[in-house]
Amino acid sequence: MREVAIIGIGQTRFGKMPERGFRELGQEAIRLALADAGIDPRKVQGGACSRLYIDIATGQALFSGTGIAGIEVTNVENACAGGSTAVRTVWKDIAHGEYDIGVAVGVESMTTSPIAGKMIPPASDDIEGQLGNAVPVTFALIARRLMEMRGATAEDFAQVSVKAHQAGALNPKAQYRKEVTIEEVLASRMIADPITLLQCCPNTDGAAALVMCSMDVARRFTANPIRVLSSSLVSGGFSVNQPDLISYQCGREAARRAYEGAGVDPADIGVVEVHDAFAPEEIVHYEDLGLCAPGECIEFLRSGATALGGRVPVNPSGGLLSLGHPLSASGVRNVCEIVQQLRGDAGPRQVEGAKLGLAQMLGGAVSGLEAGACCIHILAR
Amino acid sequence: MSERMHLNTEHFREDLFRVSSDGTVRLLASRCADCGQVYFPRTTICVACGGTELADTEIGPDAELFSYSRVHMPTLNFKPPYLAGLGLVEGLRVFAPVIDVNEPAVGMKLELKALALGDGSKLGYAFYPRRTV
Repeated sequence: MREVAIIGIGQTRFGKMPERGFRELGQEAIRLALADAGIDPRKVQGGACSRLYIDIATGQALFSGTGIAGIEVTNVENACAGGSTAVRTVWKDIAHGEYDIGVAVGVESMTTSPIAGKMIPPASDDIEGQLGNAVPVTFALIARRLMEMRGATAEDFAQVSVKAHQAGALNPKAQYRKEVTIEEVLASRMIADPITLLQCCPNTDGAAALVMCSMDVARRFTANPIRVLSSSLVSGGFSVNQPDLISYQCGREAARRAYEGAGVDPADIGVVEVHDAFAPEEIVHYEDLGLCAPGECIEFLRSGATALGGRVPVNPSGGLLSLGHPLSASGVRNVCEIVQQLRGDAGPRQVEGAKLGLAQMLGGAVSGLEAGACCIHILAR
Repeated sequence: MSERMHLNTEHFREDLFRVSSDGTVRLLASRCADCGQVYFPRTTICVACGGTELADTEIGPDAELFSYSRVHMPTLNFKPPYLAGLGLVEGLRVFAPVIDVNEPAVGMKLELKALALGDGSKLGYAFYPRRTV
C-alpha cells in the first residue's frame, strides 16, 4: 500500500443558505481545495462524493462544473459517516494504486432537501419510530445511561455544548459564532430530557472538499503534505451484542483498527474531531477512542482536557453543535479541520504543537444495529 | 381506550405482538435453539452464535426500566410531553412509550400492555407500572 497525503482543503461557510443550492456549495468547496493544493482540475484522476438528500450522480454534477469529467467518480451515502466514507474511498483508491490524485467532496443542502424544517425521519420500516422514538430521543436514552453508569449530570452535557460554542465562536465558517453559558444551555427549550435545544446540532447547508494524492506526487505540490496514517470504517454491531448504550462496538473497533494501522497510541493524539450531533454523544466517544480510561469519561470532561487549551482538545472546530451539520459534508469537513490544525493554520482556535490528529464520524440508525457505521482517519504532519 | 377495543383494533405491524384478553402484551420473538439468545422482532439467524435453528417464542409482559426520557417534541404518533423508555424484556432492550409513570427510575418494574397509537386507528404497546398481585 502507498502512503497517501492531503494537499488541499476547501470548505464553504456553514449555515442556512437555501438560495445557494448544492451545486454552488459543492463546487465552491472543490475550487477552494484545488486552489489550496495549487492543482489544475484536469490533473484530478478520481473522485468520491458524499450526499444523501440530493439528486442522482451528484458527484458528476459537482465535478463537471469545476472542469473535471471523464474520470472515476463514486457517489457514496453512509448517513453522518458519509463524508468520512468519501474520504476513505479516495484514500483507498490512491493507496492501492488505482490513481495518483483524487478529490473527496461532501455536500448537503438541508434547507432545500425533502426534510427541510423537519426532523430526520425514521426509516420507513422502523418499529420504534411508530412508538415514539426519534433521533434526539435515542441520544437522550444514551444520556440517561451515562447518568446511571458514569455519574453524568445535566450540567456535564451542557458543558459539552459550552465547549463547542467557545471554539465555534473562533471559527469564521461556523453557523453559530456565539459563546453560550451552562445556564443558557440548560434554560433552552427541552427537546428530550436531558437534551435541550442548545445540545442539538442544527440542520445546515454546506460543503467541504479535499485533494489527496500519493506521497511521491505530493512532494511536487507542497513541502508540507499532511500524511494520512490510517483510515478505518466499521459498520454497526448487533444491538444484542451491545451490553449498554454508552459504548459502540463499531466505535471501539474502528478506533482499534485506526490506531493499529497508524502504529500510534491514543495517548499520542493531540487533537480530535468527533460526531457530536447531540452533546451527550461526544462523551461516549472519549472512552471508545481510548482518550481516557474506561469509566472515566466524565472526570475527563470535567478536567478540561478536551477543551481548547486542554491536553487533547476535542472538536476545536466547534463541532456539529456550533458549525452546524450538513449531513454528508461534516465527515469531510472534520478531516479538513484536522489538516488545518496540523498545518498550524487554525488561527485563534489553533491547538499548539499538534503533530497527530484524529477525525471520527458515527452515523445512521438501523433496526437491530447499534448504529450505521463509524469511520476514523488518523493524520500526521 | 375501552376494555374491549384492543381485541379488534388492527395492530400497527403484523406478527409483532399478541394481546391477551386482560390487555397485557406478549412480544412475538425468536429463541436460538443452541445458545438461548432471544430476538425481537422475529428473525431467522442468531447473530450471537451463528445458529440457524430459532424457535418461535413469546416474551413479556414483564419488563424492567433500563433508560427513559421525557419527550417534549412531537413525533410520528405522539404529542408531547410523553415518557419514552427502553425496557428490559428477558434481557432484551425494547423501546416503547411509558404510561402512568410520574417518577421513572432505572430498574423499576413494568409490564407491557396495549396502547392505541396516534388517532386510535392502530394498536401498539407501551410499558405500564407492573400490577402487584
